[in-house]
Amino acid sequence: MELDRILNHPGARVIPETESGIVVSSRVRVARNLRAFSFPGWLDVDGRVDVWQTLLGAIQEIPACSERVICPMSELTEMEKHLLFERHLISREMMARGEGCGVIVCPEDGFSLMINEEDHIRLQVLDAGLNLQSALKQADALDDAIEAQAEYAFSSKWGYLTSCPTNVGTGLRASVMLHLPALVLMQEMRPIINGLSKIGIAVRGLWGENTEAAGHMFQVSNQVTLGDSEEGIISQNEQIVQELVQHEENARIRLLEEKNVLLQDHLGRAGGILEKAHLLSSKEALNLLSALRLGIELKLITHLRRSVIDELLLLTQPAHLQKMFASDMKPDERDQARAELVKKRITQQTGD
Amino acid sequence: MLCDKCQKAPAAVHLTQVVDGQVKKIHLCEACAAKSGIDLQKTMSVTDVLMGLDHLVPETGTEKTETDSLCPECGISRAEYKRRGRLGCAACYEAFSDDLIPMIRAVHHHLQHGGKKPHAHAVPVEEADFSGDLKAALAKAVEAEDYETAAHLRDQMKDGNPSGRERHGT
Repeated sequence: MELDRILNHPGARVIPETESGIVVSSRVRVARNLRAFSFPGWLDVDGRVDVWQTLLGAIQEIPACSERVICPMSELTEMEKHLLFERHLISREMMARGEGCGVIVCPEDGFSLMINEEDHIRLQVLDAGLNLQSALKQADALDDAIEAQAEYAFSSKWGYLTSCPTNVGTGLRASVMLHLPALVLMQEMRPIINGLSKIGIAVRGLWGENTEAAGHMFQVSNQVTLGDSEEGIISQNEQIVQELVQHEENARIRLLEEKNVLLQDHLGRAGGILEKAHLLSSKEALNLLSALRLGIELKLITHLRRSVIDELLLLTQPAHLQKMFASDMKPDERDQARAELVKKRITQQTGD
Repeated sequence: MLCDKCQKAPAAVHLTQVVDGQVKKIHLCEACAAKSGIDLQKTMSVTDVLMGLDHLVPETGTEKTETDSLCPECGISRAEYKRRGRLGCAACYEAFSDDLIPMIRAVHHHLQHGGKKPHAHAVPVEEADFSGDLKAALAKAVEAEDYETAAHLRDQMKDGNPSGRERHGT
């Protein structure tokens, strides 16, 4: 099916090799609901299908959406749903949904629309690096185009009305994915997470929770959606991300200067295991690949390119592995396939 | 301090919840917290704390029955939206505003949208409606002794700047 068009597209994961890789990607998500319908959680199947049809009709009229791939949940296999989930195109909540729910993706333009998840519309724009401003601009234009076709639930007091009041107002969640291995190694993430939560900024592990974040990948996002303007939310978020990048850079310098042996040992072990292991769990792979990624950025590892690691971080996820090996594997078989894939890619590049 | 539920073990989990504008504190021991579905290892979302944990509040016998209040448009009850932690439709915001105002204030620290508006809501029709909304919001803020928000709203009324955009330097 057309799903391959989504999967074959590199998406937001490719950052030019010359740029710092601390900021991996930026995402802007906007929640909207149609005035004429109850929120999705309270709609029956007929109601959801009605919303789905209404929105498909609206999107058909929008030139920016002409290259869309339509993925109705009722027509996807479990594996396909997991693939979309691993690409951050659908949520766990959406995976459990059926008829009248789905996602519309425009892979080449980096945006997608989840229909009938928690809200009727979850519009998402993904971009590489720190690009919240341009992502917001794109989301804003798409939002205007949809609004021209359909009446939104809006109140002048509460703003855009959402199924959960934690999203009311702008309905905007701006999140940035950051790779912060040095802050984790220096054990400085916890106070940062606690401090930022006090000013309404959430820091979560992309995989796993809190400081246990596998792969040392963190997502930084605004919690407050009501009161401030969209631009205000974005600029606060960007400012915090820039500060975090500085902290990470400082931590990297301190690691090199004060904990050099520890750092070298960390990188050496990661490389050794990844090259020699025959079984690799998902979490272990993420953590070790993260170490190599840090080594490459610090120029302590020179025989590998960062793009190889970034691709492996994506491809070693369970559904992506299943798709690549085209079979329904048990977890231990996946661990074996994962180890094989990593070894092959890493040694291949070494021989380049 | 003992657990509010079993009254035996020492309390290890302390929750603050806003119910009908009143702040309630709940203290639970680890075992009772786990039984109530609170995973101590997991970060709890603000929504969980503010909306979905009603069943944790010890029955005092003085609480209002929650079945009397229904949204006129979608028909869901206050108890239902609290149980699921999700509102039923746009009109629920008005129907359950007494519950929502303290909760929204706790999450967002604001009670007035300051961002984008659909084109259909452009001035001038909007402005007339809006001053009414502002007045109502001001009255509520004063009633709830939220003077910071009240001052904010008063300034907005003076400025005739409903969206608040200029305030944010945009």
